[in-house]
Amino acid sequence: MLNTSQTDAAIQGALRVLYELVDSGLSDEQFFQVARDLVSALQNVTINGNQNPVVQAMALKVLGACFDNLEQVLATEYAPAVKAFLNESMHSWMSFFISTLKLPLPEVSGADFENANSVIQQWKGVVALKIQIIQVRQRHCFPQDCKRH
Amino acid sequence: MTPHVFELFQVIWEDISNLSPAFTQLFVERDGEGKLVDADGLSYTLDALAIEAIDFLSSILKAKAVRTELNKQTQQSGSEQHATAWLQELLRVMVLYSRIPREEEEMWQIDANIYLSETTSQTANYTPRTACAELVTQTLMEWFNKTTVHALVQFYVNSLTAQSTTWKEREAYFYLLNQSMKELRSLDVLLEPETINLIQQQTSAYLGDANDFLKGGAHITLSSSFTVAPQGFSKAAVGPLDSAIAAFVDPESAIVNACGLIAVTQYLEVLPSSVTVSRQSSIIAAIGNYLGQHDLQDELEDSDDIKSALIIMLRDAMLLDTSKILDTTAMDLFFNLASDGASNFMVSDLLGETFELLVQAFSDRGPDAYIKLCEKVIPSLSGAFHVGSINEESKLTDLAAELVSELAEFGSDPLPEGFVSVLMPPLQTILMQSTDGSVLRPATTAVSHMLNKGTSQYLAWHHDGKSSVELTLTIIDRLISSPEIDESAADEVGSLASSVVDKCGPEVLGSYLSALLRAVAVRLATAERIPFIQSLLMVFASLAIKAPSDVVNFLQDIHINGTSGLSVVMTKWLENSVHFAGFDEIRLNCIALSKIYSLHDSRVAAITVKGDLVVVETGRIKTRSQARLNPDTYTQVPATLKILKLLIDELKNAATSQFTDLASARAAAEALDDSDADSLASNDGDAEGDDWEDLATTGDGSLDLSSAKVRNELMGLVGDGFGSSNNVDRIRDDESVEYLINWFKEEAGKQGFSDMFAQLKPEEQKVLQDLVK
Repeated sequence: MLNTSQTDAAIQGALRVLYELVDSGLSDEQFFQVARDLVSALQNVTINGNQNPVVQAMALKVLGACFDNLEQVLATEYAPAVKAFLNESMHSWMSFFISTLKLPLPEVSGADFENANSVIQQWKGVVALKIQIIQVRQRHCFPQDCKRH
Repeated sequence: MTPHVFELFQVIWEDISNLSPAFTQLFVERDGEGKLVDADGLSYTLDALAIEAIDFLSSILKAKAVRTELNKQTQQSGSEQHATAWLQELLRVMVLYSRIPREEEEMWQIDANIYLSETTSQTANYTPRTACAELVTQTLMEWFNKTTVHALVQFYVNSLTAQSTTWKEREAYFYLLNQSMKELRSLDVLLEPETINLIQQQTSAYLGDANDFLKGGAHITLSSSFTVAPQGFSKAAVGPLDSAIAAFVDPESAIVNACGLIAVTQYLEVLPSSVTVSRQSSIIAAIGNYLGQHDLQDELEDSDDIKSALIIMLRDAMLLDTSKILDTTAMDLFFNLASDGASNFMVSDLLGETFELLVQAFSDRGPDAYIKLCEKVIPSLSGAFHVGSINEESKLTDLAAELVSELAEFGSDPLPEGFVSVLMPPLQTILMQSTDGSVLRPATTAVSHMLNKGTSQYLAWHHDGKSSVELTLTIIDRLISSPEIDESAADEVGSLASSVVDKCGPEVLGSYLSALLRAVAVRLATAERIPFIQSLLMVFASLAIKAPSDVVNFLQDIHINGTSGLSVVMTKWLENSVHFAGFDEIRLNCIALSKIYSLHDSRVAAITVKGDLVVVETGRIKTRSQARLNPDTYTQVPATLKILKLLIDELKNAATSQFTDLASARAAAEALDDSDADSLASNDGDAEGDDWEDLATTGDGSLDLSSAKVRNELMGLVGDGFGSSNNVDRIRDDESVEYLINWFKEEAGKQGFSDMFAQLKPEEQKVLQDLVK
């Protein structure tokens, strides 16, 4: 669905289900079998896609849950494979992260600020996406780049 | 991935820096709704993004790659660390996001208590402001230590002195500076005089500002500067203290009052009392003034943090010099706060502690001072009981009972005239009517302390034609036997019964003594909770220390449900001893048991009790269902053998609490033993130095100084010797070990000991072989 659906609503629905599954439903083995496909599908929605930023943010939330699971797997026999996979996929995410963080907020005029809450709604998508990017990066800070001074 | 790290750091920093005008528009100047989350759990508001970004910066600033790059920038710029461009820019962004949001500003103006708790970091409300404080006080402080403060002060000089600077920016600066100084203080780091001078100049300029938050922040930050100032600054604090007192009672603003409260409390905490004592009466008067302006039951009804802060301020002001406070309204203010705060657990705890300190301070000044205190507080306490009973404000009664207990416990001996006759009637009523443990426990200890401290007054007291002894025995009987009182409510009854036995003696008690002891023994038969069992058993334990054979004879002669009292009591005693709590109680218990053993009474030996747990290797984990199928089983042993087992266990515990293994404990014990007379003499006074010498000089080869372990332990002893509270316990442990070792030596020489020894477990035998040669 993530690879073929056309509408934001369909993708968003699929992401909701995926989030629940990844967050609580799958066993380590089940998860590991689908991880690669799942992550590349999420890339479709975000890096390659042209979706609404709220949908992209949701995809990153699922990605965050995937990374949570992968880190638990790091304690198991799959560790080397997982590490390689994480490094590889982080690479492709990184340039997306950086270019997205550089996005400015949608332009609003000085007068629009008079209604602060409507501006907040207008910026919802971009802000939500940036928050998810930072959270994914923050929570999954890999040893080599968070080495203490 | 490492090359990306610095890039990511830069991108996020730029992003948050670029977003600051929008943040200002939405949240600082307007009250945009923050922290919103959509149906999928995605946060989407700018304040949440700011928090995420600041937290991210905070953690990535610890990354090696980032630090290396930033250090390079500093070096290339040639400027000093604190003035370096990137750090100044970072602080600029931190100040922008630390500004008070409009929404908070409005809320705090309505409820100063929220402002006080957020300013003193007592809440879990995480905002961009608190995230900035985290970054500055944790990440930057860990990296640059006090240079962080230099950088902040420099930032103010560079950027915040212009006319166009808003009050919110200056307030944010004071906030970050204050948080940084608090952190420095916790690290025991002092600032240089020049820095302190600058900070004091910057803050002093705003002590009278028209804006409440800026004015208040200036007071707090100025007071904090004295907490990290080097010697010589405290004299300069008198002026700021006076203006903080004035801010505390400023009729214009509750925010300024709260800031004055924080500042004055801080001055009292850090300045020498020689400086603050001259302001004692004005601070006490100010508290009265404040309570006149802000009604405790109305405006401050839910302001528990303000109430706690007021109690702390009053406490510290009173303790400056207790000789004058009875001429002020201080005690009235205390009882005013007490009658209001009794219902809040945290506040009433603080009130109890405060009162205890006061009573001790008065008692330390001698009986006259203590009598004056009693004259002042007894009417208030008796009034509190009265009000409590009329309004059924049970919490006020609980607190009053607690305060009476402290007043008696830390009072002079004997208690002043009238103490018992005024306070006993309400306590007696409570003890005969209430079923609530939270008032019965302190009321029981209050009576027990009164009996101990004011014995003759207590015994002379009578009520409704009944003697105090009779009334007390009736109370004990009710606490022990009444079906409406549960065990936990009667936890203190044992100490009251012990006091009665101890202070009244057989000549006063007559036949009541045996009735009392019988009641205790009978209740023990069905007692279930350990603290209650311990409380009751302590009655027999303290008697057994003085007259073990009388106790055994007495118990043998009573019958409980067809069994001898001796068997009932000894069984409960020996099967629960291991769970007893309290240092003195455990020690007393050991001595009592050793005395009973030393009787070598065949009636004791004939009692069979649970010995050791029988460990059955089922090879299975003991689940709850397994436990039901195979309940724990114990060996059955004679009571005398069980006493030995318990005492060996206690000897091992007391010895190994100071030494990691038995061998070093023995080495020390021998060293002590060789100089028994010396160490007994020196233990009375200061034992620190002497013990150390004993160990070192009388080692006679048994103490192997070449062993690293022994050496470390000896060093540990020396280290402990300097004012450490462990030290007191250690001396007491020493005494326990010494008593038990001597006792075992004596018993070992007696006939029949080898038979007993043979029945001990190998590990128990080893303890004796190791420690008692």
